[in-house]
Amino acid sequence: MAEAISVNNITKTFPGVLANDRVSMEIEKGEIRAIVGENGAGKTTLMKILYGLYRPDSGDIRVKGEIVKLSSARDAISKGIGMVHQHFMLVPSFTLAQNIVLGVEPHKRVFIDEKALIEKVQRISDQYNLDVNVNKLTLNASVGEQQRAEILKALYRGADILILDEPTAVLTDIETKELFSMLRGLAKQGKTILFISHKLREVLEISDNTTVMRQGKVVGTVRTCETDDCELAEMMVGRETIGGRIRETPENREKDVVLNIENLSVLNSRDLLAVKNINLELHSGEILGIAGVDGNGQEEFVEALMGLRPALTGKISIDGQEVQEFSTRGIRESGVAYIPSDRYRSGVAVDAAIWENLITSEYYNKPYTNGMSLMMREINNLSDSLVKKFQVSTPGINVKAGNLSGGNIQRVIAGRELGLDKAKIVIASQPTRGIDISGTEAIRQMLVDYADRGAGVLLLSADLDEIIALSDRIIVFYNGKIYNAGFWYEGIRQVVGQLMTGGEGGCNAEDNAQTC
Amino acid sequence: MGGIDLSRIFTLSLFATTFRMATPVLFATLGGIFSSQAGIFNVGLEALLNIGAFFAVVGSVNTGSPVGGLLYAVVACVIACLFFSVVHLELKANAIIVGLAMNIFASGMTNYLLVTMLDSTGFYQSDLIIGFKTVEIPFIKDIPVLGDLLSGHFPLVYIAFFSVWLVYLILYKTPFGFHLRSVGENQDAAESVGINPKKMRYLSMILCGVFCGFGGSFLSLSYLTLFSEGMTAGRGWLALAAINFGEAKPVRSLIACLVFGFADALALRLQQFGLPSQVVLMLPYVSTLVVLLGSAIADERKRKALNAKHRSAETALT
Repeated sequence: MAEAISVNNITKTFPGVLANDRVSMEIEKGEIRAIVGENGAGKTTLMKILYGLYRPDSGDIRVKGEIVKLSSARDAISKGIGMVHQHFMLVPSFTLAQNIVLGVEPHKRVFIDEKALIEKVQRISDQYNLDVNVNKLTLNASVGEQQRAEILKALYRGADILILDEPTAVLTDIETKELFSMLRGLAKQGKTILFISHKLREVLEISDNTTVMRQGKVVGTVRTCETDDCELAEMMVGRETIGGRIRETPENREKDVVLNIENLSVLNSRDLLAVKNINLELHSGEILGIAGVDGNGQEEFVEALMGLRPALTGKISIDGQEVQEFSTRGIRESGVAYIPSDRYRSGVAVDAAIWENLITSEYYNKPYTNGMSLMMREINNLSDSLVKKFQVSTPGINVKAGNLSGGNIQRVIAGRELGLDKAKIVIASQPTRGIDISGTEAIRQMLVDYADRGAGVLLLSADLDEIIALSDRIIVFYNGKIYNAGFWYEGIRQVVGQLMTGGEGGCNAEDNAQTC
Repeated sequence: MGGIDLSRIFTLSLFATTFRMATPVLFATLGGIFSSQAGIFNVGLEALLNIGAFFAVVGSVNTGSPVGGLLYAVVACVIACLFFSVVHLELKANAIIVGLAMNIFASGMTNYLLVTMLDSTGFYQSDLIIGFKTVEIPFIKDIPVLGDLLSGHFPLVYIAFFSVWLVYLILYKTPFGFHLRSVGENQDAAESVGINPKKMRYLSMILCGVFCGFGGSFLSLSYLTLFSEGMTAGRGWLALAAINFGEAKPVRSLIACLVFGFADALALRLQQFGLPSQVVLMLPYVSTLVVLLGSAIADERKRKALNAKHRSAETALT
């Protein structure tokens, strides 16, 4: 078979992150290639390079055997590469047909030739068996129909290599099945398909070959019919723990319940059920690791705990007191410290000074106010001591938080949340993402210290190594439900990895959808 | 009040006046529709009418022809719009602030230029200003009712109403219009298919300038042939209200313009019947409030319907 597209030794770095590390792969014409990996494994970076949105630092790309330079999406389109983005690039008030031809409309002199437009779109829709109602307004179309329009948009522009970025994330089960049969049809007609996913069951069902990426590198490529989800899960999460375990689990495990969650359900921003009727207890002195691939409900779960998102049903109790109706301030005053995952958006006010950020949860309490104005002497003393204690590297407390590095911003947040030793519960979401080694170690040590002093710590992290290194007990979010991996033991990693990628029952080698 | 005969108020000429009064607002509205469909909320329409009216007079005096005046007005408005675009699109200033600044700047600038170029203060009227002549349409002028309504207007009145159809064609029937609207609605989508959003925004602003130039020249070279300080009298703001009411669609916005024009015409007429002018002159502005209130209530209904849909989805889940 002829080679459709290949990359050779692609390397791409962003400040502080090696996103793609000497990535090579070859994909044949008519192949459905799945690319899997955890969040941050480098899949999306690679796809953006292939679509001309990023330039690689080194390495080259060949399309149909010819080395190409892709410096814009337009270049990629002209080489026959089409991309179906996770967030659709459609204009809501246009019809689906108008969106499909946008930018290359058939026209007679200055006017759009509406008859030819409809005919052409209808023809290509029939040719590839992608059914869309061409005259429907996009805002009235279902998600599946919008996605078909996106695929047609690429095909209309002559794409024969299609990149689909997590195409099933927005689809219902039935729509996913439809998509798969359409993709098989396209492959039969000679289209090459790159399918990015982290859902192993889907990958096993649809792809011919699967490439696994981890930490920017290609771990390996396997024939899908010769593998199973256990092997893929192991390739995705790796075998050995890097950095080792830094937590000594305390001897005496039976302690008070500080946080009790009963039958909690939460909707996401699209009004779909993101957290499905979960029950959970957090004990004092315990670090509970919450693993899971992004988008399985853990973010919504944390936001519901913090009162940032309403709980649809269920009870949340802190020390026996029900707090699900409390405001965020009420919950914080009940003794919850929170390190949010997006530190620039919800962790600090980037345009405010360090001292202002440090005082945001205390400014209304004595001695930092007398009820009328802020007591600057007290505030400055507190800020100075927190900056010192949490080793924020800054010329002074009047520096804007946004001017600090990621690690130092995280230290400011930790200072505010943990510095006053008030917290009974610490919720830390991605506390070390994108932070240098010394910062990472310092923050991890703080969490351990807090647990040792009797607080309950909820640790969410996309970095499985971090969860393994710190947690006393690990649960996994998968598809809005939690699965218990149990107390830490040597080798828990495998179980966690399987739960992350398959949920209930973990992986199952008998489960392979294809045979060779 | 009992002495007023309604049939003497609601005459055909009242409706003919409606078209005349609606014309400058309509021009500014059509201009604003372009920028608003491309995603720029242009609050500088008042300034553009002001600049257009002033330079139409200058052009008419300089060239001795109303068409020359129109040309001057269009060029001046396009330059003003390009200035707006550079500050907003290149220097990333907030469009509303730029528009407000332009409104203040335009009234100061025309007052200043009135002194330096035309040697007058606050007001310039002269035989040197050559205005447009009204047009009698053959045949139609002899038809009883239609003749009184449609014939005998200034050329710019016809151009304005014809332009509604033209703008509709440009926006909804040409690739150019498609690209312009896609930029305003989903910039990422437009960019991903190779449409240059900045270029489309510049073009939309140039078109906005052209239409405002027409609107400005109507003010100073048609019914009145003079320039006076503040002669735009808030028509640029009325145009904004019309765009808002019409959701930047040409035909719907036309309806709002006609309502404003009618209120203006009615105010003129009622003054002749000895009603207190302070009350009567409120009419156009009261009608604006009513129109905006109406569209706000309609929006609110839509929003509530949407929310109800969401709620039913929620309960379906539980």
